[in-house]
Amino acid sequence: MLMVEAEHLFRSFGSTPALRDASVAVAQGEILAVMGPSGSGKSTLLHCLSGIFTPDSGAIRYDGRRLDTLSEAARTTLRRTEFGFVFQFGQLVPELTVADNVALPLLLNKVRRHDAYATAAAWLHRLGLGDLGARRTGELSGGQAQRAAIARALAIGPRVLFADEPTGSLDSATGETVMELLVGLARQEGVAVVLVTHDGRVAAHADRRVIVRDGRVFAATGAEAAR
Amino acid sequence: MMFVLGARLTLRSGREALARLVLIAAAVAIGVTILLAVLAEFNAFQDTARTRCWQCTTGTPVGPDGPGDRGVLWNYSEDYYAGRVVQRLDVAALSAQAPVLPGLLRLPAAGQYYASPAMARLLAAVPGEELADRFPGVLAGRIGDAGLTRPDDLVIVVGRTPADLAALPATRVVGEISSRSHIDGTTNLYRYGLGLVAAGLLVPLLTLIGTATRLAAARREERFAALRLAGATPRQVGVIASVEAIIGAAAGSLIGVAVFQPFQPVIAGLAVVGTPYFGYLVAPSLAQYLAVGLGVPLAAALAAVVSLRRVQHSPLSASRRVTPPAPSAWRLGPLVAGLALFAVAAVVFGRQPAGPATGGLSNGPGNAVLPVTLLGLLLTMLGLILGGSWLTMQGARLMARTARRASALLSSRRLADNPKAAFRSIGGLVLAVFVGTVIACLIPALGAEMRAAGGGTLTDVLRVSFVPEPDPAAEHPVLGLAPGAGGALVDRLRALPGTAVLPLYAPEQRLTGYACVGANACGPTEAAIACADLARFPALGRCDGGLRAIRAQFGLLLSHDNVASLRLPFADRDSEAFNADPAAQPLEAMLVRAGDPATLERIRTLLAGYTARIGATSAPKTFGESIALRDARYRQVQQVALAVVAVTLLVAGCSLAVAVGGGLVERRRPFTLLRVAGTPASVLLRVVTFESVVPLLCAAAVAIAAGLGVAASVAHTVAPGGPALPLPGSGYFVTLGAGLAVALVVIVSALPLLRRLTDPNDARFE
Repeated sequence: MLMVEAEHLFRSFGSTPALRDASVAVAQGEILAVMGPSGSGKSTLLHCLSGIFTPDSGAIRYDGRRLDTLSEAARTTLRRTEFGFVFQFGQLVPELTVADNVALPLLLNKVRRHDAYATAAAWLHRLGLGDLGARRTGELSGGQAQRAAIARALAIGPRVLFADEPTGSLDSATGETVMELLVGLARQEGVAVVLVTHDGRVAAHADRRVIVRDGRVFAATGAEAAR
Repeated sequence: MMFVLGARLTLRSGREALARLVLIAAAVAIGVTILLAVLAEFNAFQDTARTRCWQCTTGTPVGPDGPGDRGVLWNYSEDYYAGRVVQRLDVAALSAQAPVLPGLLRLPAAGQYYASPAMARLLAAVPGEELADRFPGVLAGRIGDAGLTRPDDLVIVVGRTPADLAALPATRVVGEISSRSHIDGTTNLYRYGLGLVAAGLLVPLLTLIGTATRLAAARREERFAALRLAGATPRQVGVIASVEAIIGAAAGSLIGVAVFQPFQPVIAGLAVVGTPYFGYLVAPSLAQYLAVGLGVPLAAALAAVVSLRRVQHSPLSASRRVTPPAPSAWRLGPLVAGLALFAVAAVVFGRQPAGPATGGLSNGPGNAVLPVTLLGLLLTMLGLILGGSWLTMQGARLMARTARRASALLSSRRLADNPKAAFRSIGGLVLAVFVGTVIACLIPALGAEMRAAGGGTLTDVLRVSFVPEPDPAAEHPVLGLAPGAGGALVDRLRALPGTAVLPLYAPEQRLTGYACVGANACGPTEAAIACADLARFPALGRCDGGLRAIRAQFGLLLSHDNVASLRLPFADRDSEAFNADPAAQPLEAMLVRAGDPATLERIRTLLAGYTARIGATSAPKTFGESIALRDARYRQVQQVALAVVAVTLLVAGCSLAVAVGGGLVERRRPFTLLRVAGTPASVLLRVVTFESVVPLLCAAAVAIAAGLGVAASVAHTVAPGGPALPLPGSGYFVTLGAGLAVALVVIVSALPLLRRLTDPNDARFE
């Protein structure tokens, strides 16, 4: 069953085309790696698939329903309740504790405070951060911060997780640990993952890989997949 | 080189740098406009006080050989109309070279008078028997600005014949009109007070400018740290940081000066100290323009350099930022001590029961209350400033522990994280609102205390004495109006509808007591009174049932302007009987209650002729008018305090708006990513609103509560006859409400920045 499906997407920024007839789909529980060089349009594709951007033309479906024609408010609600996001850095609110950060999306979804913090504590425990809930995010290492971000993304029980260079700011060993956790938990939870990366080692965790080049999406060949 | 690089980084670093520059310039422009307004108001006060005080002219008494043929005959007195002072000068030129007072080209001839514009309007507006009949002659011209201190002064210069004027006891021969200024002890007190206010306003204004300069400190620190990593020296980074601040502040100063110009006439008409100034006096001097134009950018540059201390210590400082240390509880010490002092003072210095008569005045709370009150005030103000950040932190932590909504959690954690920064913008506001509340509560309480004296029945009672100041050389001192003339006057007054008269007769054929309060308020202190007349004024006392007349000491009843401090009633069952017919004695004074304001002015017009003949330099006035004059002085203080509250609220609102803008720029990335992850913009709007509006409202509430508490304690001591919980008048609520509303509008106007800065469409550029 396809969770997210994009067909013939076009999207430009001013006179610069970012996506040109891009089509891609990700199935339930599938981990899809979107690869490509810098400026190729892979982040734009992720933003379109997650409803952050609307394409200039083409169609995006989520769970069989058109996503690109929804209002901004409806797409915002969808992102808050159905999708999870992990970025390269800077997604944790510095004034909040680690537990606050993980509980934040639950509170935004009107979950009771007690339940939100209990869920946050459980996810922090699963990600090996059980003792760090009261810490400020500035006191975490890069790997710990990304694990906290994964806990935050998964705490709401999303059906799709969008990850944009989730290990981009980490060293290779820490990045590997983070990816193992992210992929392992996604598989346990049956979450579809759209993983944007230019790193072949990160993409190796995916079930399938596509390449974005000059705004167009290609299935990865064997050589490209091995990079 | 670094200057050029700094200018390029400031002007060509994209939208964020430009937005920061605009915010700095806007904040500085507001600060400069307010600063210029305060300086202009201060200048107007100074220049008004420096105007020539022709009223201070003294001269010499008219000798037994007549006034001579040089100079001018001069008789200055103060009259009253509807509670307002009318400055009256009766003159008669003794020669063609007679000195002319400022504002006039020549002295009025006999049968003419010159009036100030406000006086001329009043004369034209009210019936002659209520005012114009007091001044013989016709209006011959206007007195120019040089003879006035303010545009609404009621001044009249009446021309008389030398013979008429020489016959009045208070007339002097003047060879030269005084050239001294109006500055006296009170002026200096106001001057220092206003100077302190102006200096005090600098603190929140500099906070505003500093907050603007520190805008988005974290983002800038990252940039400057990168410059350090690239090899720039701390000095070079300091120059680059200063350039940004100087450009923003210089632009803001220019805009502020430009914005101030159209506001100048508005400020001139504001009447901050109760009455308006001449518009042309309300202007900053060239030196002040230059000082503001150069000083503000310089202060901004200094603030920029100081705010970058951490970057200058280490090129990696941006990544090493730590949460500032939390304020400790000891900061509450002065506040607790100050409030405790007021509580103790209220108990210890509560008014003592009245003791034996001392000049007819009742006992006050004593001198010790002043230093205790001042110490308590200082401690409370210090405590509010020091303890504010601790209270902010505790409140925010409590909120964070119990927050059920994401917006409350985000904002309370931000406030708890750096309460000093949160409180910095509103520290000045807390002080201003506290002091303003105390003053605004106490002044009506003091007024109420005065009006409540004598059960409030004496307010509209006119007091008039017919006994001139005793001349030690005189063989037969004047004891008042002769019985016939006195009786006729009493009958004439009683014939006026709704009028009650209490004649006070000389008990003996010699002056038994006489007292003055100040130079213009004198009168006898003992009288024979008919019991039937006294019965119409029960607040003053009553006779024993069988008596027809009594002899009573009434002390300063005729001269003291604060009826609340008089010892009343002065007549009771123990009062000595007066066995003769009092109406057969000279009429030394009287109390008159008129039925309505128009009748009151008619009575005053009638009495003016009598009082001038005994050399009185002040027309008779009611207790209520005396209170109103005293009140007017208090209200000047109150008005200045409320103006400061309003300005401080505005400045605090601006500081908070700038802080909100800075906070948004600093948190642009996490906020944008929160919006990307589905957080509605409305949640983030609530976050920044909570971070700015809640501290503003809470700080105002705490300051108001502390002010009310302190005012209640002080009022209990100095005005026990007033209400138990003194409340401010409507002016206070209007000022506070309007100030808060404007501050909130300023804050809310910064919020659209949030949507723009955190637009998910810009996420790709993060």
